[in-house]
Amino acid sequence: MNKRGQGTLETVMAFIIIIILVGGMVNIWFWFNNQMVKRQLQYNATRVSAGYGHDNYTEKVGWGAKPEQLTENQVLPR
Amino acid sequence: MKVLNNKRGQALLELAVFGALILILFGYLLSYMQRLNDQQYVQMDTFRNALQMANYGAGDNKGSAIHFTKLENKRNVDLSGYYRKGAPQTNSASASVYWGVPESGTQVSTQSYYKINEDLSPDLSEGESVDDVASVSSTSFEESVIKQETPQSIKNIRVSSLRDTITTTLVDKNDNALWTVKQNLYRDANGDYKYSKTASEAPVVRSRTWETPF
Repeated sequence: MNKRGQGTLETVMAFIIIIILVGGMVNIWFWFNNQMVKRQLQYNATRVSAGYGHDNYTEKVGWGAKPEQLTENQVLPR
Repeated sequence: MKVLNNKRGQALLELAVFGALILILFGYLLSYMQRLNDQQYVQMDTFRNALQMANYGAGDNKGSAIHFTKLENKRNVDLSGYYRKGAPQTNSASASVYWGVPESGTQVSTQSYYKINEDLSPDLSEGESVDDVASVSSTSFEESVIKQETPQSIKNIRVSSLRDTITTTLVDKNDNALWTVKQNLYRDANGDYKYSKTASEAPVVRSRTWETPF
């Protein structure tokens, strides 16, 4: 029984899993940063339209932005 | 005493404890990010709505002074492991816009609106002002896990049933209800959880099947 070999193997496996986990987290943070940019662009673009040409206030303004769904593929690209 | 002097055991234990702490920390960071993301959307949406309302007044195309508040109930990713249950979260934002360009000879009207999820309150600027927002939630959740083994495959089926009703009441300083809305949970076309007074009380059923063929 080579105990040192087992330890090395477990360490390698654990590191691979940790790297995947951290990589997924970093991708989620990238997604969050992209969301900030996207919504700011839409927000700026709808500033004028919010003050123009609709008949009543319940009508949706151009600001139709909403949080995008975060998919599994965005977290761990395949 | 040999057990107590086992250095490898100590290292494993430390790894298990600190590893769990690090995972909790990572989970908290992601939850924080999700809340921040939703909150920013609500703030921006609120100001755009207030701006539009101020421009048009109550549909009569007069400039107005608008106070607009939005409350949005969300169900964020739940780390506890229940299937598609989600953790309840409320985001809110307020915006005041004084457009103040009324038609000649008319006064600027001051109006106050609350939008709770998808439902808009009537103008609350008359009478007492809103002093508090009281919210009562009723949630029921059931989950079942089924494992089916056949000579061809192993199939795991997870089914959850979630019913959630939120009753929100705007009250004045004398605890009189100014507006009450009862909203039920449903899923919109994108599959997101939403609340609306027009949604039925039927539970939202989610399921998923994992199959491993031999």
